[in-house]
Amino acid sequence: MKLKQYIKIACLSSFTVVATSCLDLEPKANLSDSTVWNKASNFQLFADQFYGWTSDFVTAIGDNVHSDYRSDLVCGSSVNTYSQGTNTIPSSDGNYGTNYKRIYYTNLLLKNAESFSDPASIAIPVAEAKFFRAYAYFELVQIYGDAIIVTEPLDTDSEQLYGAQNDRGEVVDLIIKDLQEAAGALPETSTEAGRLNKYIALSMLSRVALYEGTWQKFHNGGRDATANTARSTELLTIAKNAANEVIKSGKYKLFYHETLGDQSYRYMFTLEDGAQCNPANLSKADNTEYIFVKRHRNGDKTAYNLTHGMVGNACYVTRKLAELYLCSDGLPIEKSSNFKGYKGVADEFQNRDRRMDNTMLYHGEQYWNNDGKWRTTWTDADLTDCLVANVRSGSGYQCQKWGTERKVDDYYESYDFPIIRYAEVLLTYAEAAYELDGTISDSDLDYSLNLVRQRVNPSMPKLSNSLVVAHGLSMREEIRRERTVELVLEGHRIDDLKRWATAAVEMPQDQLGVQFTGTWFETNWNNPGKSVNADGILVLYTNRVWNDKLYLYPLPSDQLQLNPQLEQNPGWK
Amino acid sequence: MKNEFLKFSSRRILFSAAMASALLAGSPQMAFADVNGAQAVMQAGTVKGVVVDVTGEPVIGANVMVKGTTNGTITDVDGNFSLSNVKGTLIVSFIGYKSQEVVVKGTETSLKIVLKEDSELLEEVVVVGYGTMKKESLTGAVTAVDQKAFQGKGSLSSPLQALQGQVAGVMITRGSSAPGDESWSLNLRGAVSMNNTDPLIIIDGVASDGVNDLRLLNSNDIASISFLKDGSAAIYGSRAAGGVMLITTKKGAEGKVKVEYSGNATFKTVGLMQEAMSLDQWANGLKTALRNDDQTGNVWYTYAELAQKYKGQYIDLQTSANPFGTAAFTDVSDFVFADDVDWLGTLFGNTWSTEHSLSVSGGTEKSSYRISLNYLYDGSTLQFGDNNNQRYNFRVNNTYKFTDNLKLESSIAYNRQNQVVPTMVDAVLSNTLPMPGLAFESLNGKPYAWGTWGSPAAKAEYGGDNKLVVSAINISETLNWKLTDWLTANANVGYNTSTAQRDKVENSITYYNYVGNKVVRTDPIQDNSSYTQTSSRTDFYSFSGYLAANKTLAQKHKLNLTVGAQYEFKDYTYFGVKAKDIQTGLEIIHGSGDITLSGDEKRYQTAVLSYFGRFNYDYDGRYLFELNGRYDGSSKFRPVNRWAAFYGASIGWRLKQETFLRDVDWLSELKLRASYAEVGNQSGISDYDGIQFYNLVSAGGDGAYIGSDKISYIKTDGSLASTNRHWERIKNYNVAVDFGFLNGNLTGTVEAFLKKNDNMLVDITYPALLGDKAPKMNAGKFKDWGYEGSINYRGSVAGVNFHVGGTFTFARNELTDYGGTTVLSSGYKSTMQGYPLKSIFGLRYAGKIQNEEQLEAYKAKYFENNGVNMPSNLRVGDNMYCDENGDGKIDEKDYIYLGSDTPEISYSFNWGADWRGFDVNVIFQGSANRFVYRPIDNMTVPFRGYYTNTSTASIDNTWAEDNRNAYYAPYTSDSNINNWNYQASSLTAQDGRYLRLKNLTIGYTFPAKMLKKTKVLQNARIYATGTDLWETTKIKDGWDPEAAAFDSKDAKQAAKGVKRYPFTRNFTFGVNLTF
Repeated sequence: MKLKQYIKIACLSSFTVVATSCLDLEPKANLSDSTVWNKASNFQLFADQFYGWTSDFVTAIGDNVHSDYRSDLVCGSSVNTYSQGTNTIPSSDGNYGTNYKRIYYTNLLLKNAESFSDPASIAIPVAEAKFFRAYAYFELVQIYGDAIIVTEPLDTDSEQLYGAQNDRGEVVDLIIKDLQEAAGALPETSTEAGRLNKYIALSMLSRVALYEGTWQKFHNGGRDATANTARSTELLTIAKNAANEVIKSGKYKLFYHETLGDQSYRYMFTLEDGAQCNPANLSKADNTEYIFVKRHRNGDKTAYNLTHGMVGNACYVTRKLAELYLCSDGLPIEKSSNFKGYKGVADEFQNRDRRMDNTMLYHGEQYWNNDGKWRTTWTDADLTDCLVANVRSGSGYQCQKWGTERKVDDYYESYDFPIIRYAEVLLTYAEAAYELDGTISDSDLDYSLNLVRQRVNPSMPKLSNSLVVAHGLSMREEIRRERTVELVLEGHRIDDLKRWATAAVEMPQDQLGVQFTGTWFETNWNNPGKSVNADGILVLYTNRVWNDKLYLYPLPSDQLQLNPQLEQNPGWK
Repeated sequence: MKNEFLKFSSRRILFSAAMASALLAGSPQMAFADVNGAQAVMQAGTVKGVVVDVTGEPVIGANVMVKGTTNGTITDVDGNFSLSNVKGTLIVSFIGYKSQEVVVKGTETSLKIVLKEDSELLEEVVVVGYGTMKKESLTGAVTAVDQKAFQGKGSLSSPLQALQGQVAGVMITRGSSAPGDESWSLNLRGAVSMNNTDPLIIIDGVASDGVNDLRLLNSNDIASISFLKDGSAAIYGSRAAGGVMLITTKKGAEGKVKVEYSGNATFKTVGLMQEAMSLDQWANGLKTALRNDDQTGNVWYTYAELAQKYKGQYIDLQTSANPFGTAAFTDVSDFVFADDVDWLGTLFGNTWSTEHSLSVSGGTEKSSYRISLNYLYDGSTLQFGDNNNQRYNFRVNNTYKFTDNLKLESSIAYNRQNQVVPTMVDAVLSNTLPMPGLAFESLNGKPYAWGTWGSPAAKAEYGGDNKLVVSAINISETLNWKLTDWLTANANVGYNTSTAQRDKVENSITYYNYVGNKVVRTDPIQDNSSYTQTSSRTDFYSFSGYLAANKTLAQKHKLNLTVGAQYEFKDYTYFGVKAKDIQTGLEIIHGSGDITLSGDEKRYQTAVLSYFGRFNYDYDGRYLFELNGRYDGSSKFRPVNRWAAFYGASIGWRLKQETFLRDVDWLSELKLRASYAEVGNQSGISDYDGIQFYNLVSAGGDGAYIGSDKISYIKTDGSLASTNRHWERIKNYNVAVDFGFLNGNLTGTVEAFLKKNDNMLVDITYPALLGDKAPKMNAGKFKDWGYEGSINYRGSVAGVNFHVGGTFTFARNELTDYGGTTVLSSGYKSTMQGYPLKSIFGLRYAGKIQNEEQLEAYKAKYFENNGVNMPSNLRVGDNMYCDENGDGKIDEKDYIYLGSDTPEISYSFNWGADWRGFDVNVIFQGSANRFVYRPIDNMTVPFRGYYTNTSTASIDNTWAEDNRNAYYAPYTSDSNINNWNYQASSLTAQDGRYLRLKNLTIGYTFPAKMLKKTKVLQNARIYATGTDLWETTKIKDGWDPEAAAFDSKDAKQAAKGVKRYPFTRNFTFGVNLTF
C-alpha cells in the first residue's frame, strides 16, 4: 500500500530524469572473490600472508604460552601468574581466536583451490596452506588439548560453529596428514630465503609427533611410564623417522666456526647481516643450523627489546638452570668431582658445560652490550672498554643469551628467531628413539645427541650407555637435560614439562637464586631484598603451586558462552 | 458557478502566494500593496522626515519607498531621509523591525516615523527540507537558531561551540581542545543506533560530508540553522535517522553598500588539569610502594633515596662515579634530580586566538550580493613545537532576478584550513609521564635524554611538524522559477570538492646528556627519519529539483504540495607515501631510504537517487496536517535490496485559534503537535555491500621478510560478506505542546519523543571458529526516548530589556535486544542487552580489606576458581568486591551496571539584559547522568610503573589503619594487585555530572549620535566574553568533566596525543563595526 503510494509520487516527481543505472557502482580499491581466485599467482600471494604467523622472540621470551618465563628456569622482577600456577579463567583469549582465524584463511585457500582449473600451478600455495593449518592446529592442541576441527570456511549459519570439540587425537591426525602432504609437495630446497621446504615440514612433523607421542605415553602411564601405548608407539615412530629423514638429507649442520670456538653456540643466536656482529665476521648465510626461522632485516624495528631485556639483571636466571649444566666430565654436579662448589663468586662456573657460560654471565666477566659498551674492533682491544658483570641483583645469576655486542639501537637487533633448528631435530631423534624402545644405542646417540653436546664441549665424554651405567645416571633424564640446556629461552621448556607430565614435580619448586650464606655473596651483597632459605639460598618465588588442570589452558569464558557445546577443560569447571 | 468559484479562489490563491513570498522577503506589509493601492491617489511632492526606534534612537539605513514604485531612499546616520516626487503611501522598513506604512498627504518636512522592533519576525519563517514554512504552522519538532547565536561569542572553531547546550534536544560535546582537532560531536536527542547516526547536515540545499566539516565554516556567514528533530526529517529518508541540520547562509539585502567588520582576540589559559607529583612526593611514594612489595632491594628504591639526597642537583657520570657502580643504570650518562620541574605545567600554558571577519553586502532590485572574508588563528596551549590552526574563509552569495519570475541564488564558498601539530604529539602527550627530576632539556638547551627516555619537549621541538592543509570549495546554485501564481519550480546544482594534504615529517633527534656535551641517544635513527605525504580528495555532486504548489480553497483550506527528485554522487580517493632517511628542512617528499605506500590507500564511490515529497494541509489556521516521504535507492546495496521508502506524518492543533480561547488575553499561543515517522539509516552498511573484499598489501609493507624484501600479499579485508542486509529503519514518535503567555513575552515548548530501531545492524559475536569478523546483521533492537523543553521570557523594566531562558533535554537509550549472545566483561561495553550504549560494567566494591583475618577469610572464600583474576598475593588494604549473585564465586556473572558514559541530561539556562547600550549575557550549561571510568594507566594508578610520574590525587588518600575508607589501596607496583584494585567497579566509576559557566558577555553599543560624528560608522559595539570560567564537578582525578573517558579499547579515545590537551578558560575582547 504505502509502497504503491510512493511509487506514484516518485513517478510524478520524475521530471528530473536520471537513470537508475547510475546506482550501479563497482568497487575501485579492493579485490573480490572473482578477481582473487582466478589466478595462480594470487593463490601464492594469499599464501604469502601465512609467513607472518610464525613464532618470534615474543613467543619464547615475552609473556606467552610457550615462553620460558612461564616455566621454571627463568623469571622476572615480578611474579608470573602462569609460572606461579595461579592463573585463572580469562574472559577472552587471543590465542583461541587467532588460531581459528588462521585456520579459516588456510581453509579459504584450500576450498578455492578445489575448483581451480590448473591444480599443478598452485601446488606450492596449497602445500603452504596445509603446513600453516597444521601449525595453527598444533598451537590449539598444545594450549587447549581437544579442539573443534574445521576444514572448510564456515558461514554464520553453519552448525559446525556450535559443535563439540574433537578429541586431540583426531586433531593430531589431521596435523600429521597435512604435514605429510605438505612435505610431499614442497621443494627440497627453499626457493627463497624464509620459504618452506620439504625438510621444514618434516622437522615440524617430528616435533608434533614427539609432542603427542610422549604426551600419550606419560599422561596415560604416568610420568615414569616405561611402556608405550599403541598410539604412542605409532607417533614416536613417525617422530623418529621424520627426524631421521631430515638428518639423512645432510642439508643441515650444527653451527660451528673455528674462530668462535667454544663461543660458537652463543654467537649463532646473534648473527646479523649488514654489520659485524662476531669476531669471525660471520653473517646469517654462515648459519647452517637454522631450519625454519622468523627472519628480521637489519634496520627494521622488532617487537622485543632483546639485548636490554635479556642481558644482565633483566632476566633472572634461576638456580635450577645453573645446576642443570653438566660438569666437564659429562656428569651432573652432584656426581662430579670437577664441581668447584659455591664459595667463590664464579666457582660454580668452573669445569662446566661451556653452554653455561655461553648462556650466563658470571661475576667479573667482561662483556659488551649494544649501548653501554659495545665492541668495535672485535679483537681483544675491545676488552679495554667493556662492561664488567656485577651479579649483585636479581637471582645472582645473569643471562647473556640473545644479547648482541655490537652498537645497535634498542629494538633494532635483527637476528633471526629459530623456529626450528637442527639441534632440536637431533635431540628429537634421540628422545623418540629412546622413548620408543626404552633404550637407545650408543651409535644412535652419536648420530644425534652427542653432536649437540660436543659442539662447544669437544672433550666432554659422550653420553653413552656405559657412562649412564657407570655413574648411576638415568638415560631419560640425560636426554631431557641435553634438550633443556640446549634449547633454553627458545620457548620449549614449559611445553616439554607438560608433555613429560613432570610439571607437577618441577613447577611447584621454589624458584631460587645463588647460594648466599657462606659465600662471596654474603659478604659482598648488601641487601638482596629477598629471603634466604634453610640451605642459605636466595628465594625468588615461593608458594608456587601446580594443579593438574594447568596441563591445559582453560577455554576463555566468552567462547564457552557463545558455544554451549564447548566443554571446559578438566579442573577448570 | 464554477467560474465564479475559480475566480474567487484564484484571487485568494494570488493573495496567499503573495503573502508567502512576502514572508520570504521578510516584509509582510508589502503584501497588502494591491489591496490598498487604490486608496492612495495623491499629488507628488518632496517629503522629509526622520526614522527612529521606540527609544528615540535614529534608525540608520532604513528603507523608505513609495509604494508601488521604485522610488525610494535610505535614511542617513541621523535617521533622516528626503524623498522627492512622493505620491501615495510610504513604506518604511528595516530588518528586525515591523514595517510601517505612512500615507503622505502632501509635501511634508518633519515626518517622524517610529519603527517597532519585531522580535518574532526573524523566527516566523523556518527553513525546512526543500522549502520554508511559517513557524505557526509547523507540526514537527523543528527548532531554528538565528545569527544572533554566533555574535559576540569570541573566536569560534566551529559553530557548534556557540550552540552547546543552547538548543533543546541538540546534544553537543567536544572531544579535545587541541587546535583544529576539537572533535565537536553532535546528536539530536541521543543515539538511535549503535551505528553512526550523526545528523545530516545541509548547507544551502547541499549535503555536507559530516559534522566534522562544520569546523571549516565561518560562523559569521550563518543566517539561520534549523534542526529537524523528529519525523519532519523524513523527507530526507534514508539519512534522516539522526535528524537534519539545515544551515542557510546570509544573503545580501537590497540597499546601499554595508560593510561589517568584527574582530576579537581571545586569551586562553589552562583550566582543569591533572597534577603530577613533585620529586619528594614521587620518591616517598615509590619507596612506600617498594616497601609494600618487599622490594627494598630494588635499584629503584636506592634511586628514590638518591633523588631525595641530591634534590635540586645532578650527578654527571663523566666526572663522578656512578652511585650504583656497575650494578644498575650502566647505560645512563647522568642522574638529574631537578626539583622545580612541573611537567604538566610546563608542557601546557597560556595562548591566544584571534578571529577577523569582514563582509560587504548590498544590492539593487535586480540583484544583491554579500561577500565575506574570515580569518581565524587558534593557538595551542602546548608550549613546545609548532602547534596551531588557521582558517580562511571566503564566500560570495549572490541573488539575481532575471525576470520577475526567475531568480538565481548563487552561493560559492572557499574554505581553507592550515593546521600544524608536532609529529610526535602522541609520544609527547602520553599518559606515561616520566618520573619527576628529569629535565626538559640539557643545561645548554639541547635535547635531553636519560637512558632510553627522551624528553617530550625535544620530541615536540625537533621531531618535525605534521602539517595539514584542507582546501574546500562549496557551490550551490539554485534556480527558482515561479511558473504560475501557485506553482514554483526549484532546481539546485551543488558541488563540494575538498582536498586534504598532510605533510608529516619525523626527524631523527640527537639527544644529549644533561651537561650537554655528549650524545647519548639518537631516536629515531637517521635511517628511520621519514617524510609521509598523504592526500585525499572528495568530490560530491548533488542535483535536485522540485515543484511546490500552494493553493487555498474556500478560504480555509490551505494546501501545499512539494514533489521532487535528487541524485547525489560522491567520489573519494586517498593515498599516502612514506620515504625514509630524509634531509631536515626540505618540504617535499624525499628521502634516501625505502619509499613505501601508506598501506591504507582507498577509493570509493557512492550514489543515492531519491524521490521525495511533502503535503501540507491547514484548515483555518487551526488544524494542521503534514505528510512527507522519500523513496531512496542506494548504490551501497546490491540491486535486489536497493530501494526503500520512508515517510512521516504529523498533525497539529492550534487551540489558541479556537473560538473558546481566541479571547483569552493571557494566553498568546497554545498548540498541540504529534508526529510519527519511519526513517532510515545506512551508516552501518559498507560501501559495496555483499562482496567479499580482499586487500593487496604492497611489498615493503607488513609482510614477512622473505627473499630480499618484505613480501607483498593478499588478505581478506577482515570481514565476511553478507548479502541479506538492509537499511536500519527507525520509528520516530513525537508529541509536543507550544505555548505563549503574557502577550508572547513568555514562550516555550515541551516535547516528548520515542525512537525505536527494530532492525538495528549489530555485530553479532560468533564462536571464534568463524574466522573473520561476522557481517553486521539486522538483528538488534534499540530504543531511545526522552523529553525536552525550552522556556524564554522577555521583558522590560525601567528601560532595561531583559530575557531569561532555559533548555532541558533528557534522552535515555537502551539496547532492548542484541540479537546475539552477549558476553559480559568488565569495562566499557555497548552490546549489553537492556543497557545503554557505552555502559560501564564491573564489580560492586565491598570496601578495603581491613586486617589479616579478613584477608584470609576473603581469599579462602573466593580465590579458588575465581573468574576475575584475583591475585594470589592480595594484601590488607586492597579492595574487596561482592559476590553479587551469591553463587559463592566471584566471576563475570557478578558484574553490575555502573552507568553509561553518554550523558542522559543536558541543560542550560541563560540570562541577559540591555540598558542604554550596555548588555550582559550569562549562559550556564551542564550535563548529568553520565559516568566515567578511566582504564588503568600510569596516571590513574599510582606507582604502576617505577619510573613514571602519577597523579597527586592519591596523596593522603591511601588505605592506612587511620584512614580505612581511603579511595586508594596501599601503593604497589604489582600489576596483578593494581589490575585488581583499579578494575571497573562501583569505586572507580566516577560521577561525570557537571554544571559550568559557559559564557559571560558584557558589551557596549555606542549610541548612534556619537557615531554620527565619525561620518563612516553606523554601528559599533565592543564586548568582553569569558567562556568556561567556573564549574562544579564530581570528577575526582583532575580531568575536565567534559573530557572524553579514554576508553583504551578505542584507538581514537586512547589517552594520548590530542586527547590530553586540557580544556581552557577563555577571555575574549572583541569589536563589531558596521560602516
